[in-house]
Amino acid sequence: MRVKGPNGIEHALPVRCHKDGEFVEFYSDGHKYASYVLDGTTLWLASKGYTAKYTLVEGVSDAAGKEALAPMTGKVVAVPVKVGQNVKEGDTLAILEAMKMEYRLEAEADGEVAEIGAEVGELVDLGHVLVRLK
Amino acid sequence: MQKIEKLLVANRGEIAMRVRRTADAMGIPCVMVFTAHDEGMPHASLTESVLISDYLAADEIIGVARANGANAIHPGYGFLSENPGFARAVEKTGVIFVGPTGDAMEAVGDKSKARALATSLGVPVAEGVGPFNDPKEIAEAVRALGAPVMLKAAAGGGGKGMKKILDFEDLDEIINSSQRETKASFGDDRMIVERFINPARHIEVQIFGDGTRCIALGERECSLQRRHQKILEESPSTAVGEDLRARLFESAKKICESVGYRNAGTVEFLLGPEGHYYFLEVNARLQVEHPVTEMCTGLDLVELQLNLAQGGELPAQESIKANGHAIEARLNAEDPYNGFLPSAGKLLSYSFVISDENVRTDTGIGDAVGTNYDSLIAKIIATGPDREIATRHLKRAIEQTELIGIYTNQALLLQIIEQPFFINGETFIDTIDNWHFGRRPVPDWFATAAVSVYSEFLRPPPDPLGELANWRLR
Repeated sequence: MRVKGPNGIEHALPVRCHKDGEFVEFYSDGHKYASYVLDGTTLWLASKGYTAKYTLVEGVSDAAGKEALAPMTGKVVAVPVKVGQNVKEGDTLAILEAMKMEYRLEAEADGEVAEIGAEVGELVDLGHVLVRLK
Repeated sequence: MQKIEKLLVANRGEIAMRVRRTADAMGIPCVMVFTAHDEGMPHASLTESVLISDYLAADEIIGVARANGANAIHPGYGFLSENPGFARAVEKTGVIFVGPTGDAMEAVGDKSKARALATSLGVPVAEGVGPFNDPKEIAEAVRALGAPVMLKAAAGGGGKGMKKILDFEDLDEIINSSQRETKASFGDDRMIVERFINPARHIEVQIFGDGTRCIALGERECSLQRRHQKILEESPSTAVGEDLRARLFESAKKICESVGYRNAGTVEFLLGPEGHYYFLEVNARLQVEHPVTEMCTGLDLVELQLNLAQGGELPAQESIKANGHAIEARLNAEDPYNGFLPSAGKLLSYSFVISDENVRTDTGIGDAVGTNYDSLIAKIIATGPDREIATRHLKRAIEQTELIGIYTNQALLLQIIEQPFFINGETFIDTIDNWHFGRRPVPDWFATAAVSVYSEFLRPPPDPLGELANWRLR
């Protein structure tokens, strides 16, 4: 499908528009519609029960698997490991509590505990390094 | 019995706003309370919203009621709603407590006492022992009963502290964790150990009482749960026929009438194989999922509560007629694709389906979801003449809900209602835990949309002076 504008110029579909948090893509048989919010460089799209979060990739961390990061904001209720201790994949490194539920952080790989980044009772933010392995 | 002149709503979020809506319709003015964590939420932003230190601060809340001329308190659910001491303290000051008496609450509130009561009335209960608070005694009881067993909080419900024990590996750690959760939720770490019924459905009966007589308003099936927290509730249950329904209603009424129950309550049962059912507990309050019963009966349960509390008459059992089917989905701030981790943060944008005769949303959120309270954002409730049509309306309502800024279980709710186990009514309490679901894929065109929006907004700004010549989009 092609449309002709008032100045005589023809456009080929799909046509995409976005304005004030709404994205529309037109097709000959209808259109796709999503709401969006751009929060800094994080983009959220939502449409018909689907919600997706996009982030701009800046680089890839080489610490993957060696750091137990707090997966949410919460309170540390237990850190059952000590610096220098050898742990196996699947061992519990820390237990966090939020919204009255407990969450267990397990070692993703074997290793030695190099650093403990939080104390029992401490409130930590999302992404806080709780235990670092080497 | 005195009339309610002004009502204090001792709760937060959606349930505070839900109670408020009915009070407004009945012409009863309200006093709301809120904590500093909830500033900016709807219940904290009304003309008479009073700042308090904690939703559990009983004396402070009673003081606010008296100082503001409220002669009744509605506790909502959770917090002080099932605290017999609070109910008694409220009534002692001459303020109406919208709920059962402290004595009735106490008689049914403790799981082990309630089990003994049910047994004495001939209502079946699952084999079990307790309560114990010594972890060693708990471990012994677990070993004696033999796996699989359920470990439950003696003091309260809501699945807090509840753990299924399949074998004795890590037993001590499971007991410790369970007792910590129980302590954090109820301030009491006594546990009971119960035989595990499998497969089991969660069926509950909504009752109302006037202190002598009780009526049953219908059953709800709430089998679909994650970590023992309900996520989808419906009525009627696909597994309950006329005969079983009559027996469940009789058992529920018998338990409540035996303790002189008044106002709203829910009697929970496990439905095992071959129509055998087992009493679980009584929730001596209005429940989260009460709208399901409202949609089927056409009754406003909060109105019924307030009427009874000011001396109104309990409707006759024969006057209760349930029609059609209703389903409630709980929209939670959590990431189901990452172990149901809670997701807190700022809400960048949200909108809910516009209520009509088939759908309704109960919510009461502000511009952020915190970690201090539970993860419920909204309840989306749909109804229809039958289950299939109700499901279709629920799907539409969930699809029209939009929430941006935190992760929610919205896509999972859609995935569940599309599954054969849901469509066929094959719903059991471990169905979700045993179901290996993947992330619901977003439409392909989302990527195009994302790139399109990014390229529009992250394009280098006009740079007439050339100062930003080295600017690059990375």
